[in-house]
Amino acid sequence: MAAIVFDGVTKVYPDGTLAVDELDLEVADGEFVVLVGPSGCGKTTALRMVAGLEQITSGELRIGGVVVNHLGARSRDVAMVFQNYALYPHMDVAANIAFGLKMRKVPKARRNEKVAEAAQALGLSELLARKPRQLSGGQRQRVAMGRAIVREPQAFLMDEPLSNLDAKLRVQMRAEIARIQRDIGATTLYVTHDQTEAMTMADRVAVMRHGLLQQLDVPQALYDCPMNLFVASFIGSPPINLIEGAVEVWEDGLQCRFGGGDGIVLRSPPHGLRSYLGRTVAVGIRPEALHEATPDEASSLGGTVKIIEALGPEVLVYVDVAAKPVVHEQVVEGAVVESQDAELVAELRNRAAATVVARLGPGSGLEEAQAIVLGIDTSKLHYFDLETGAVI
Amino acid sequence: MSPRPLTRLRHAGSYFVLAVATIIALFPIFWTMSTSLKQIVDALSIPPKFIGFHPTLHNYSRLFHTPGFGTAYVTTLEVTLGSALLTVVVGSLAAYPIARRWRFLGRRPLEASLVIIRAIPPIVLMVPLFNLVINHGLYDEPLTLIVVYSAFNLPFAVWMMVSFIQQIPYELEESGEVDGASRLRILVHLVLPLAAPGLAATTILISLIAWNEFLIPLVLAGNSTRTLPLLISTFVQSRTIDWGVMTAGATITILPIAILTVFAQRSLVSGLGLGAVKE
Repeated sequence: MAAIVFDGVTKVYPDGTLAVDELDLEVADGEFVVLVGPSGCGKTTALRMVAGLEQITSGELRIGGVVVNHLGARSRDVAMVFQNYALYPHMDVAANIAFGLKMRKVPKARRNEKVAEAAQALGLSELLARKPRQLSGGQRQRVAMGRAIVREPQAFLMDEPLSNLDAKLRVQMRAEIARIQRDIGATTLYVTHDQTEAMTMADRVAVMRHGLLQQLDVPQALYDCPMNLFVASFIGSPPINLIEGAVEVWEDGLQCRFGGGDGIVLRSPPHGLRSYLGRTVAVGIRPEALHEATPDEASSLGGTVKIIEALGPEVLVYVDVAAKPVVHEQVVEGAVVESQDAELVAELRNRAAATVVARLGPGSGLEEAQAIVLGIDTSKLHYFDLETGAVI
Repeated sequence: MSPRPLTRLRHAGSYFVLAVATIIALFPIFWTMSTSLKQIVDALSIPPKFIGFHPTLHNYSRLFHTPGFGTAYVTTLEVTLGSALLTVVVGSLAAYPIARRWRFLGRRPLEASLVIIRAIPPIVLMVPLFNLVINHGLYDEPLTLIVVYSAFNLPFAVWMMVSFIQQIPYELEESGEVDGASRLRILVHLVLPLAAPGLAATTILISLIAWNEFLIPLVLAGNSTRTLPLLISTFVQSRTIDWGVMTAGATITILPIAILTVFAQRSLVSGLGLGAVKE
């Protein structure tokens, strides 16, 4: 296995589209890095450049210390799992798994041995004589995995390998892929638009938008310290609540006032927020930073319960509040993963009233249309510049 | 529940139209075959006798004793197989880069010329072609017919193969590439096996055209390379038409191609159920 290094890698398509812009990223030997972002953010292009299926416009790409910019796909010794599996339909499962070995002139006896081994590991032993069309989606997915692991390549590349599976199977395969990756210690670059996959599987997550790397960090850090509005709204489910707050002086600290008289009181405001005095900022409140307020709580947000979703261990409460939602472009893009959904985009842009979601414990006894005051845990808040979207 | 009356009526209507079309299409073949089994009086009787005549194989025995019949049969077979093979091999190799939108110098003119060649009536080209063949001493050679047939049928084969190759998901080739296969191996191990139904269909169609070709051998074939369609046409003479032998010849000519089509049809229709990629 080997490290993959992007060094200022840029991709411009012949029609002038800038797909990847000066990407710097290192996937260490044996590391599992997930490239995540909405469709069209350049993540798949970045992956395909590693595979050798896409020319690199500028910058340097190294695999195992070797510059591979001008090496063809077949000379790079990487394995790829395609979104639609790309199994060879005229070959049975065994031949599919063995194909890469055959192309690399591995002797037949050794080939059969390795195919049997991989099939064993993936639970495909019974299916070796079947054709791809006789397999279920999950089985096809595993054959595609088998085809990759049997080669013992320098690195694994996976392009949304789970997006064609149904929800339950996806969760199961998620764990399985993560297990296989750990077992063989394979350097893996994994592309997805699903932030849950990114958060659950990755050692580190690289969030991309418009061909630019937004943030690269371990999953928890992405969640706890998003660098901008895009990352904040993209990572997390249910998503972060973003409302506008006017920064004012309050005793020796600051306060952030939402519309309708609610606000938060900050005795020791974060460094940098003072320079926004008299201006409006975006306040990011994770659903778990909200709770049912006690009567004397200084930082609170009042509203009307709109929807209650009881999930068992927790209850998600959607509350209409008298505050202005943040409709920054980054928020819209972070919320709409499939950017083709024009209706949803328009709806998000034209939102006038804010709805916040709170993650509460079960048994709160709330009812829809009931008035509620939510207390805010000010130690867990995020503040963003409304113009640049950057964290304050 | 039985289908509603209106649906039934519609079905009956479609069957009626199909039946009429089939009869219209098959009638000439039926006439040809039945005439080949008739004596001359029955063949020319008015009103025509479709049943109730004395069948005879006399016409066939006369056909088989016609000088040059055996040679013509062998020549036709040879030229058909040769040109079908040449056309399909060259045609698929040419179709691949076009189907996969490779960029190369002269791509557009090449594509355009493939269409234009089909747009020119072949007869326009016969005189210059005849000159060319005579001047190079290639007249009356089977190989000449093979090459000329292929030249005329190549565009057809290329366009057929282009559409078949385009149906093969490109990811399969990318996957092969990442798996370490060269261009040639991708073509041999992945593209051609998956295009097999297309190859079969193209081969059959090209064979049909070559088998029935009349104009090219009329101009370029002499006595030793006379093909079956040409031989049959010699039964039409200035004063008489030998209907019996001619229809027997036509029947014998149709037979192999009809059998081939019936057998190949199954593989043509079934194709390869893909299942390679999930759409």
